[in-house]
Amino acid sequence: MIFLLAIETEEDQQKIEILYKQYHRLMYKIAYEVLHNRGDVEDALHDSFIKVAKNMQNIGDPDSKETRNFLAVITKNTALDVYRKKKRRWNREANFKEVYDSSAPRTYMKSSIDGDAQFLVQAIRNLPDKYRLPLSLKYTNQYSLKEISEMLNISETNVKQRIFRAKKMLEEEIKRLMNEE
Amino acid sequence: MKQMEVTDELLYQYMPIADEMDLDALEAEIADEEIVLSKKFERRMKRLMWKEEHKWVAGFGKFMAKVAVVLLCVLGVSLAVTMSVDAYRSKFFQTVQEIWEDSVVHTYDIGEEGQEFVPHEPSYIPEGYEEVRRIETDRTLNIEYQKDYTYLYWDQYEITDGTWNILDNYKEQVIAEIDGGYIIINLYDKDIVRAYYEKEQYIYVVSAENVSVEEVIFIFESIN
Repeated sequence: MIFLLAIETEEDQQKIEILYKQYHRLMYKIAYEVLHNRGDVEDALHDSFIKVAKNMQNIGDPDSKETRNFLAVITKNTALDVYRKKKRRWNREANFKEVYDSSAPRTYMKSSIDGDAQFLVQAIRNLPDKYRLPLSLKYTNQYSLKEISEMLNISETNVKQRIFRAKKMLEEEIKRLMNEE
Repeated sequence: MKQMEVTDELLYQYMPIADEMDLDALEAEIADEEIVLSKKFERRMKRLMWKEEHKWVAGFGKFMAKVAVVLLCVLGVSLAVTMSVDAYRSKFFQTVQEIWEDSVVHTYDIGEEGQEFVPHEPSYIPEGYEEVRRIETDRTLNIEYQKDYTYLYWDQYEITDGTWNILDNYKEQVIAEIDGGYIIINLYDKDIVRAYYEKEQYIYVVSAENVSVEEVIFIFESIN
């Protein structure tokens, strides 16, 4: 049996540099919304790129919407991890819950989508990150439950539960939005 | 009261739209923002990108740990030799190197199993390098040294049965003799060097950047 020593293409090796140049500002912004501290944001950003490097096989065209979304999800999740560690250090239970579990509406932009679908889109945008992130990886990036559990560092059962719970929360939010109108 | 059932079909259709809207909104916010990153962060990212660009240097060690090698050692054998493992099984380690046009095939076969692995590391490392990581198993030793943004890797493997073929695109090769054996030193672009040395039941590998041939030889000569 003969094994070949595979040396990766130069394109693969430089992809992380391309991704950094293209998306580091967006990722910085996403992390800053969670952490509000430059030092912590840079830690989250660095850790995010380590995760990106480990998942390079899941990243296609650097310019695609899927790639942008994937990097955004990884960054948000990493920032929340950094926040959780800080919370343990500074014992800020209340503030953490506010960031991670909050159902407060995010930045609102009027949707150009017609019909009932606009309520669904708005409900998705109002979803807390804890439920939004696995949903995004499944329905936008179309990763498997196993892949999502590895990326978010939670069990597959947890992923299934959050997706199930997210759908219920969406239906409740849609009902609320529809009846407000 | 109005309501809607949220199905997978709807989510596959509208989740990407919602995500895109949020990210577009964020990008619009940062369009005119100046984001200043610290020098420390820029150094960390530079180091990470170097690691990614030279992944094979670190990955080579891990690859070697997974590949089983069959060792046949015949001293003074000619280049085009065909051998079978059964015919040459013995108590002695034997090495055959078949030099092809663009690759080197190393075939190994050992006669005795179950020997204890004794780790050996160099007592000489070029100035400025410090050990940053060490992984030891029952058949391998891998040490990572670092100096500023450059890395040097030391790998020791116990030879087991198997075959390994390396496609080599080095620009220059140097062969040095030490202690009755030979060091094969391959020099690549961007001042990258990779060197192999076989002694008794072990293979030693040095992978580094900006380290001279003389220093590589010193490293192998200083094995304890």
